[in-house]
Amino acid sequence: MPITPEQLLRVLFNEVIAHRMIAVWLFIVISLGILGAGLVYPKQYVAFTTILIDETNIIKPLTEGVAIPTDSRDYARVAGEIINARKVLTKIGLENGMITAADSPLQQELTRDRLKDAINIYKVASNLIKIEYKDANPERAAKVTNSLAAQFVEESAQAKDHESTSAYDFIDKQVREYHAKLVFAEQNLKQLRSKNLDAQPGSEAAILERINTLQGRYERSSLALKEAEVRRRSIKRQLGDESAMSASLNRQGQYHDRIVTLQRELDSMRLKYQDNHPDVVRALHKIEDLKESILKEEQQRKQARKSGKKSSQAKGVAINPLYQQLRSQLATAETEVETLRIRLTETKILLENERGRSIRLHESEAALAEFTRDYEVNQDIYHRLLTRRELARVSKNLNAEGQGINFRIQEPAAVPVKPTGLRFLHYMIGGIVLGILVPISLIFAKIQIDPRLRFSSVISSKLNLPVLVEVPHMPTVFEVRRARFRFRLLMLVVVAVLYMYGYVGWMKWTGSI
Amino acid sequence: MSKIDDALSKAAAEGARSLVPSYGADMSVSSTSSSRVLAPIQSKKGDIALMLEPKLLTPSELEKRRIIHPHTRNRVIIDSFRKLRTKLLRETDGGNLTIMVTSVRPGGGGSFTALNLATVFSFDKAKTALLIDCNLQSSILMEVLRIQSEVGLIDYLEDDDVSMDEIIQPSGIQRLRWMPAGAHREITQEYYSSVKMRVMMKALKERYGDRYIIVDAPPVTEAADTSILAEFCDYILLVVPYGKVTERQIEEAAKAFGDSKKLGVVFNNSPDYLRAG
Repeated sequence: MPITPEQLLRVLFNEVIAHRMIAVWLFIVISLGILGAGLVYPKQYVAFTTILIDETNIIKPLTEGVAIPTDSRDYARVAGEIINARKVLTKIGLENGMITAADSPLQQELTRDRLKDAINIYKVASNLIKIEYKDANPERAAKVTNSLAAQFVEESAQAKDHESTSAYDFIDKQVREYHAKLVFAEQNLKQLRSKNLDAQPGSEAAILERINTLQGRYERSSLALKEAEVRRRSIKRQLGDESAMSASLNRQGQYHDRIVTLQRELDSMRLKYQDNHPDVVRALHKIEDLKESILKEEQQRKQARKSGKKSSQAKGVAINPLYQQLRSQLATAETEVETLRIRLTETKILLENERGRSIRLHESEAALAEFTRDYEVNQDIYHRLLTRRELARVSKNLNAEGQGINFRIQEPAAVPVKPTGLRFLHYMIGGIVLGILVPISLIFAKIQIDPRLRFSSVISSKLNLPVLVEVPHMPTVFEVRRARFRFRLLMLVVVAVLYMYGYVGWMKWTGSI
Repeated sequence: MSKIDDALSKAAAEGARSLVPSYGADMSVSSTSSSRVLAPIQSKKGDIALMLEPKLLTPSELEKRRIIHPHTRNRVIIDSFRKLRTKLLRETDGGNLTIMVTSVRPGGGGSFTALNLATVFSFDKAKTALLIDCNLQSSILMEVLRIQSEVGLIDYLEDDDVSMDEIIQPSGIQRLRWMPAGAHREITQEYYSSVKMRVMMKALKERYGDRYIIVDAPPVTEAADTSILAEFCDYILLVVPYGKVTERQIEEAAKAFGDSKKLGVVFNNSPDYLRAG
């Protein structure tokens, strides 16, 4: 059986009564302590000022996209950064007499810390920030708040100015740097171009065409050469076959032809005539003569060969005309071969030259492309920087004219009339409530933590032992009397505390303290 | 409490005193009648009325000693002891009972419960009660009753010359006799396991059928002899003091007796300011 809330409450009540001395003492200490704290704790006054961030101005639409206004989206944070700076805090402290020149650095630091703790900055709307300052002195609170606001406006204006000026300066420096780079790149390009005249736009195509033409010519020449050589070879072969002397051979042939004709005539005559027929005899003689002539001719030829080429001309040994023709053809062919050879060599040299030019062109083109690329990139950046510089110039002028983002004190701080924070009534109520709750909570915690048994129901439910009876505490008469006396005394003390509360409250109400 | 209650309790105390006309000198008569020790005697109502009572404690003296009396102004406490008596009487079939009272830890109220239980039994004019103090190490009863005794239980067990009648003494409470522990001894175990002890307990139980015997035993967690004493008793009352012992201690104490004995818990000293006012 779990412990019921009723049992718990009963045990709690009994424990509180059992520890009534401690409980009442705690009550007295806590309640009077808080009451005293309420009396002693100084009233805090909060002065505040609101600062309007004026973003909407006439120039904005005009400069949109041209000038970049100082960007500060989280104004509250920016304001906090500015105000909490040591410089500003020191200035505020000096202005309001919180820090004097005689203060040690440590004291100054402590004062600054105190100031920092008392300042509270937060965003009220998107373009409105609130600066609060808490002080025991209402007049000083207002004064400090106003100087905080003034400092903030001044500092932020300065910061903004500084920001745009430095931006302009930076961009200007960059522009100058890029200008120098650009000039250098241009010079490089010029030098390269003058060194490589070939390296003109379109020259590559021309060279390529020329190479192609030359190549074609070379091939054609090479083919023609081969053809001429073949022709020459064949003429030479033919020339070898043909003899230079053809005339005598022809006469022999004529003799043979005549012998054959005569033989034929002889044969037909023998059909008709006897061998002693004059015609037959004549024919026989003629044949004999012709045979002799042939033999003579052969001898003459042999002689002619032995004596020399042209020796037998006169004796009818003629030079062969075909041979002559072939010889002239051969001469022509040889001339052609020679010509073609020279042309081929020439073409080859030209081709080599063109190829070399082409390679040189490629090399110079790569270098050119690199220089051109550098040049173009630099040029692009330079142009952009020029635009930026002009934007920055406009922004700078904008700030100088007091345009752009403006911080304006919307509502200056007034002297606060009512103190903030916990009022005295809160202290009084809190004192009594805590005075009652703290001892009870402590005793409750003790019951919860202490493992020792306080509930008889646990014995029967958890340990399964029958609980016959619960015997309450039996005080003696003396104890009862003493307890009563003490109880009355404690009640008296409690009443005294309450009376004190009432008295102090009344005094506060009437304004006596 | 009103003045009427005061007057009533005073009258009751005086009435109790008038029932016992003789004091002091007659004590020797009862102490010397040792011849009847072991003979079972059925006492009559008149016998009990004629029990020799030396000086009885007045109600205010009783209250000072935290002993209840029929006119105790604290009705809550007297009701709780009456309730306990009723519950214990249900355990018996008309005869008497031997009840051992032991606390889980020293200072747990074992002796207080034993004394008041004995007292509540003796409220009945037809019954008597005998309280045996077995707290040899530190007897609280002797301090509470403020009776200096020469002889006690140990002397009886040790010395054959000491008779039982000598050690059963008037307590100052009507119809309640008590047996003091006697001389202070360090080791007690062998006395309780002796035959003489066994015989004595049996005799005490059987001698008067209308006598309830309450044994005030030392805290069970402190002394091993408590479990030996349990053997002579019909019922064990385990006194659990409020807010002083853990569940484990109670469990260990209950385990010391095993399952054979009837056991009940008295949750003692529980503060009840709501009802007490």
